[in-house]
Amino acid sequence: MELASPITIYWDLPSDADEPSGLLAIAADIIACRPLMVWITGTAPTLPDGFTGVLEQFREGSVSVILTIPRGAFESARGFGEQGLVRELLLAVDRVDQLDAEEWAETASVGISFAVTSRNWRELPDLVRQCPGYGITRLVLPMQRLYGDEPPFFLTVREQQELADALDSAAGASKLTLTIHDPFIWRAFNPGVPFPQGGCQAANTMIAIAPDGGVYPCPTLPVRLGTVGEASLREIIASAAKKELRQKLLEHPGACRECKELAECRGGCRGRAYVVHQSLEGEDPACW
Amino acid sequence: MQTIHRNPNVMWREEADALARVQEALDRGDEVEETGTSVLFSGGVMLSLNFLGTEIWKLCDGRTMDGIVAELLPQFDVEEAVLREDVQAFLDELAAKGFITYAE
Repeated sequence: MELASPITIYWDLPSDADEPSGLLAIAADIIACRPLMVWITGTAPTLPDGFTGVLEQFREGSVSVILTIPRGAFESARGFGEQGLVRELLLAVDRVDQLDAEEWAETASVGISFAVTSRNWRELPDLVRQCPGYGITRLVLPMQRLYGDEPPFFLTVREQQELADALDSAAGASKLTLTIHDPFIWRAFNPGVPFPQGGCQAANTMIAIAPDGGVYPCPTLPVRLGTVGEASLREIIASAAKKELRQKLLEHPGACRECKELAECRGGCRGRAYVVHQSLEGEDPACW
Repeated sequence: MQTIHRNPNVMWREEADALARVQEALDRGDEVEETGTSVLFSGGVMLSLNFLGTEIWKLCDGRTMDGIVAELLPQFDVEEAVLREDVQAFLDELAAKGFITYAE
């Protein structure tokens, strides 16, 4: 279904946000778009001053918040779930040995956000095996942020098979509630199960706000649609630029049209392909 | 008597623009079955409900099947038996996906 306004907004906080009024203004802008949920990601070691006010604003606006923060910021977010300020609290880790932390041992509502990279993807089977032992039942593999110059991460077809085999041996994922955004990593976790969201949902069910206020169709697709503060988020979402981009995303990449797997992968991750080819017509490198 | 309840973990909203288009189409006597007027999301699954589906969904607040049918019947030009069958099939589908629960 094509939506007039996204149900999910990804909002990456600036690392130096020390003035709550700017955050409150963006929160109001987001609420005006009536999303069902906002995924807020902070990377600073502490939450910005006045951040509780931002969460209260979302609560009043009936927008569910999924908050991802570094492990070190956990103390400043303790109790958010019990107060109804967040639907989920996720702690960012990038190594399995970081699970062995006392701070969240008594907090059942905390989940893990594990950003998969070329350095740590082989830890995934261990991760799913060990999470239940630490009382962790929620695991999110977040979308890679490609707003900057970071090279896109992907697994080759051979690596995807290696991962699928290792996960099959680990046999632990069934005890976790998983969110996987990468369609090819999804396939390694769920062989034979179609990716639930169908094709690319950038600029349809989702929109993303980068730390500098840039608005993007998805955290992984670096086509800037506007900037919050210069235009309202509603205006950016209703803009011709956003609609034209969405229309292009509804068409399969030219390079994939003859591929027999197109019906299943539907062009894969269009953002990753865009970064590699500088075009929406190229194939997702995870097909290589 | 069974009562019907929305799963509180389901996030949902009505689509105001689509609803306005549907109401215009209904006034003209056009078909509106294919137009989604609400979006439901839970556990990574998004559902789009058409006008009738949305109206049924909004009534899943602890009412019985009879209560839902009684509420909808004056709004739709359809025989009660047909409506009841449609509502039951729709609710069973929502229940299978975990979006509603039945309670005794």
